[in-house]
Amino acid sequence: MRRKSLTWVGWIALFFLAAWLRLNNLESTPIHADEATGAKILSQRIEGTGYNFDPKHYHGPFPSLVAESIARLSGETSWVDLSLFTLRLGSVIAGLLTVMSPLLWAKTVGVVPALAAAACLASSPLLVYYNRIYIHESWLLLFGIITLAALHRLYARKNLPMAIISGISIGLLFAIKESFVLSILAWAGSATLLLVIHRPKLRLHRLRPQSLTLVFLLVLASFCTSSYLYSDGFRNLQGIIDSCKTYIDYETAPGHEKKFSYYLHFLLWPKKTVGTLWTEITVFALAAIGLWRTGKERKSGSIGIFLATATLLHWILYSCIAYKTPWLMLLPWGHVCLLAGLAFYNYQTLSLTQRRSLLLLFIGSIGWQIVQSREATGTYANDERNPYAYVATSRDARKIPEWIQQIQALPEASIRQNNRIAVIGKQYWPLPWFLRDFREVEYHPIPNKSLADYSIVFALPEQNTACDARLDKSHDKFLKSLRSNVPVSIYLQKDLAKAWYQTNPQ
Amino acid sequence: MLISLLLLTACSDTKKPDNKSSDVAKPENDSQGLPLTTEIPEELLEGTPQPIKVANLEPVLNTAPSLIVDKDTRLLSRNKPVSGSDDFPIIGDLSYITDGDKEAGEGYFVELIDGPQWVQIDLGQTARLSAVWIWHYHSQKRAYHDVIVQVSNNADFNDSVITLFNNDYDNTSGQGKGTDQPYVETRFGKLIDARSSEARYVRLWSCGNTSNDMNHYIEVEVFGSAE
Repeated sequence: MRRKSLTWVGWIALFFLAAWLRLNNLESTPIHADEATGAKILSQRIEGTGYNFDPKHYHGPFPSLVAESIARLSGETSWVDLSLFTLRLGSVIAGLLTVMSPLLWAKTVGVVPALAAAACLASSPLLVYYNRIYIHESWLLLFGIITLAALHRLYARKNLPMAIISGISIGLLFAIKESFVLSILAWAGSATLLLVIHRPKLRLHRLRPQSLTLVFLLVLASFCTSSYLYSDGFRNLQGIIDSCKTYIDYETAPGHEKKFSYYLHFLLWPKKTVGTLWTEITVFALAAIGLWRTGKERKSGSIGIFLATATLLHWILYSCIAYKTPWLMLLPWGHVCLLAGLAFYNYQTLSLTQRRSLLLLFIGSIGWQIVQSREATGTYANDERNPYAYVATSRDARKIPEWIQQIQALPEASIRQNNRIAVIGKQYWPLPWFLRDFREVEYHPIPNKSLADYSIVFALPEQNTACDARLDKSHDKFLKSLRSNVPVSIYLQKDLAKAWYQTNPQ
Repeated sequence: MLISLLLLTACSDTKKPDNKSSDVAKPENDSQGLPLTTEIPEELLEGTPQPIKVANLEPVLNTAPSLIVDKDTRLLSRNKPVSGSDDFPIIGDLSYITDGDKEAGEGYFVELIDGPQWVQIDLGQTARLSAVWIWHYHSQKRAYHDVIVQVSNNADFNDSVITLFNNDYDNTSGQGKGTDQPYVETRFGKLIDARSSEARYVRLWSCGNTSNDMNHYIEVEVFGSAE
């Protein structure tokens, strides 16, 4: 009884640790460009214009569906109303459920390994950082772990409900992000390896019809789930076709190409910046111990080998793709955290010295991870020296709306028939988030002929020269930081600039 | 005569780092003034240089800036006490600002937290100021936001404040709107004319930069004459 109570205290403590790391000052980091585009997609839903999946630019619909529910509960019903807290809360919830997800493995591997895995998931700076951002990968990780647990049960029990649950879970994975196929490939590769190890004489003709029925039900449930979500509840059947077309049509933004070793360097190689030593290598070491501890056992050994192989295959697949971003590592790293928990598998069989050493490594790892998580999400949350911050938005950009409001409140501006704002250039996100309060905002890739007629013009760096040439005589120019090393030039019509300076001059 | 002095200064700017110019202004003739010179640090660009593509920033310097100052001008700020709005800098120490080291890289700069922050140099006595020469950070091409340089005889800057430079166009720091242009940091620093202001304290504001939201100083030199 006492042991059971202690276990629950452990789970509750981990839940609160995870919640504290994820919810603390959730809105302090400026909105990321990808969050802002996600928010714009979400606004289609909450403004009642329907959801139309775009195979060129969208990922799956599931995160925006959850965010829609949260927004409605919060009473936010438009693009202008949306708050950063509401936007990010869905990812936080996904993160908290992920931390609790090792409960699904507790009966198989034991309570202590499950708790240890949960502690690694709760404190990982990678997971903490990106559970605080409105992106798809937090949900992908959660349903990745749920799918693994469901497939494991299906393999063990071979019953109909588990086939349907597994299918729904895979369907949700597809409805979260198209990149789920990489995980399916990694899992299939790992399962194949296990079959080779444990069932060398397996023959396909020996598969019973019942197994084929379960596979059919799994695929059917998966298809129905993803189709329902991509077609906005079967209201737009084109969405089902587009969900497949996205593998051909999706356009990735340039500038994210990195070398093969990027993820190794990012997560494992120790880096000392801004007073912090960044690395999650100690959890990787625990995972190696987990593989060693379970390798000899048939039951848990399968899980250890499966997780290790799946991690390796994920890592190789993602590293082979030139397009790399930190958040793509969430699901692979979730595997590492689960494997790290297995370091405590049958820990009673270890000698006292081994137990103490393992405990020391574990406590040190979790403590160090918490420190890194706090640093990563604190003062340096959007600083390029923080390895987890990626193309982060400058805090300077948050001052833009207030400044424009002050400009538009000037008598010289209020008597005008229009106070149009133009944004010139292509990679302008998350600028629309900061300009959402203003009605007359236009976006042009290059300057148009009537550029001088706009009260305020924002120019991205590649359009500076062109805008300078057209606005030199009509506008004054100012500077704001949009993203790290991406300053945006702001042109303000000279009469407004003159009036602006006359209020509260130096 | 003035043209000759400027040409002389321009030539001296191309000196190699090991052939550093003096950090104490020396008279070169007996006329009204002389060009202010100081030790210019070596170039150190860390990582991949990030070009700042903002065309109307002040032109990026390829040589040290020049200013004609009175012949009795000297460096007043070396090792003078520095205080700041952020009492516990994240990296480095406020004393770095007047220690004479202008090198780029780790260990030479002080980093203050984000938001509008100031540092203040106490010259110890009222002086007639000729120039303030600032190096925020020069191992990466970047521009600092809302740079303001003020001088005063009042340590709290409550009154008698003279603003020498201000590019805080949206009044982020609450010191009034400034019309000076932003500029890209280089190893040559930013030289600001102090216009013979009489003051004991020099306060410098900033609010982040185009690379990150933090505030940095490598060195600040205040030149002038004092009894």
